[in-house]
Amino acid sequence: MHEPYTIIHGGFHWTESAYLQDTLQRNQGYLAKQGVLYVDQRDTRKNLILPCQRSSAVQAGKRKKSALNDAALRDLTQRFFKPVQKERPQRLILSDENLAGHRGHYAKRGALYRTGDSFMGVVAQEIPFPVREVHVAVRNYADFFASAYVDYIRSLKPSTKSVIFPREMVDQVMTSLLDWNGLIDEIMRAFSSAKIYVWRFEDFCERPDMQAQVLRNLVGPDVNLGKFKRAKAPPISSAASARAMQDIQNLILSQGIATAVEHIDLLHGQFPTNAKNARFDPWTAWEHRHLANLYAQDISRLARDPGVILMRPE
Amino acid sequence: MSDTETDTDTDDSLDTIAEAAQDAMIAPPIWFPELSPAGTGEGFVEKNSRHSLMFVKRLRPVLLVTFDNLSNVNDDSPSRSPWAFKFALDQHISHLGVFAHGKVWYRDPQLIARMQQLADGGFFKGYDRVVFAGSSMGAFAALVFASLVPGAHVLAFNPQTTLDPALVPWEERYWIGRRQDWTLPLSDAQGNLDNCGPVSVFFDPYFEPDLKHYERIVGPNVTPYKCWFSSHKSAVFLRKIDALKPLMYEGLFGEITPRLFYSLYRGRRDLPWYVGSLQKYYAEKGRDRMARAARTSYRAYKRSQQ
Repeated sequence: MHEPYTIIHGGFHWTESAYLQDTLQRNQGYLAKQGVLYVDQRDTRKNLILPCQRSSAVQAGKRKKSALNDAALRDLTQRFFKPVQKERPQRLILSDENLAGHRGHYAKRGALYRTGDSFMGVVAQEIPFPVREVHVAVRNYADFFASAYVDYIRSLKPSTKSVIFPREMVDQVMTSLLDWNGLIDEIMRAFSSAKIYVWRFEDFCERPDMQAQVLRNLVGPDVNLGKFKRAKAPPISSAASARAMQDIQNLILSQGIATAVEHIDLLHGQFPTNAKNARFDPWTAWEHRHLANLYAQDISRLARDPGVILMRPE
Repeated sequence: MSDTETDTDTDDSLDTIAEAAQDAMIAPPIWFPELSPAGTGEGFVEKNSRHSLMFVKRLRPVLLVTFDNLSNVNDDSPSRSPWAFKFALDQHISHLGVFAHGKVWYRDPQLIARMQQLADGGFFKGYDRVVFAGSSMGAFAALVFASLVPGAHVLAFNPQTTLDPALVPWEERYWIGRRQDWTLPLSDAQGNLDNCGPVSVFFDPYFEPDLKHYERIVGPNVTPYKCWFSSHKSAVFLRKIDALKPLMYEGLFGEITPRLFYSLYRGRRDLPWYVGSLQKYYAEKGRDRMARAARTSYRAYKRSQQ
């Protein structure tokens, strides 16, 4: 069986994965000519990651309607990899920020990907080639969870029964204080023969050379990045404004969730983050400081971890 | 159907609801008779998300200040009360109990500021004695917060002195605790106990992490009480040999002395836990004959008691 050099870009969430995916997608044709196959993220999500997620729910003993048994999963994933077998690329790039799990847990539980271990194990099992590299970006905890909260509010449905408010999330985070290192250990366990590349989201946003470095690592040394069509530059921050979030909260409390849901997009549009409206920031100054210290310590530990290649701006 | 009948029906259904409510009613917590709005006591409850305070003012001029340990953190039962609440109630002493709602080792700027504010406002004054007490994480808090009250006594069962990784790199037991903010005030008991009254530290000298913490706070007012083979559960061990209450009592109203403590600690000979630990200790050192002797002696001792 032909075995392409297989690479996974696994997010994490809110680290401009979409920018990377967009860039790779725009250059899919050029990459193919260089022997690099980039699979559309929506395809990867729908036909590989999501089915693995549904299967891991079975393995975890959860009774979900959408749960998938082993045979059905294998059938789906074999179909997913069939074109890869046919095209016989030298290098295969799969990208989905949901690799480590569902994004719904952060705001509700202050957790970083609760089910990562079992879920990533299933993904690793279903990829028919050895995964050589896994690439992920980490982000400072305060901004990561603030973005998670904004996303959580955006994902509310009229039928949602209760809402976690920002202080509850903050307390959950501050009493559990999980670290990226634990999650990256899980990746190492699932993809035991892969090199793990990690970079800081902040470096990626602030340093164009870092963006080039990340892309170069993903597509490989033989691809000329100078010929790449450029995607829209990543925004420095995509957080919602504090005013919009406050108004949404007031609507939830006064009119109920269903009414608030109808106005969420409207309020975000009405009060975007700008000079007049500060970013949504649920943390106190002390919490910011402590989370920033932990992030710095955790990055230092990653730098010392022999199993991790921590990318720095050149 | 007449109006009268309707009224009766309504009354019946109300009775039924009341009875059902009565049946389903949860037993009130032990502090409820004193601190409920219609209660008989004086005091306050300050509920916060990470730590809460509960204070009851009582007649005897002693104040006990206690802190939760890790095992209390996830207790969401309606009956939850501060550590040693019943003991303080029975002794009619005032009690400030600090609840912990996370494994955060009391590293909470809001709590630290509140305790400092209480100290500055004279809250701890006017008592014949103020005693800080707790076990493990709670004992850490007892040690550090006692430094806010000059002359305070401390009863610390298996305390940590800090979890600051820079100060105790050998302490690897509490991952979440070590990730707390150890740059906050009152983060290390070492060097903070000089103004305290007697500090009694109960720990198992064979349990290395606890011994190392004790060694960090050795001082003229700090007395070690060696709870051999109790591991990190000295308070439980002492309770099982009926020594905890007498020690707490002396700590509040009298004086804990080595003579008193080791006399009470002789009660360990009755405890299977003790002989099991002793036997294990010898077996692990390859001293099988001593291990067997420990068991044989225990059986002989128990027979002599019958």
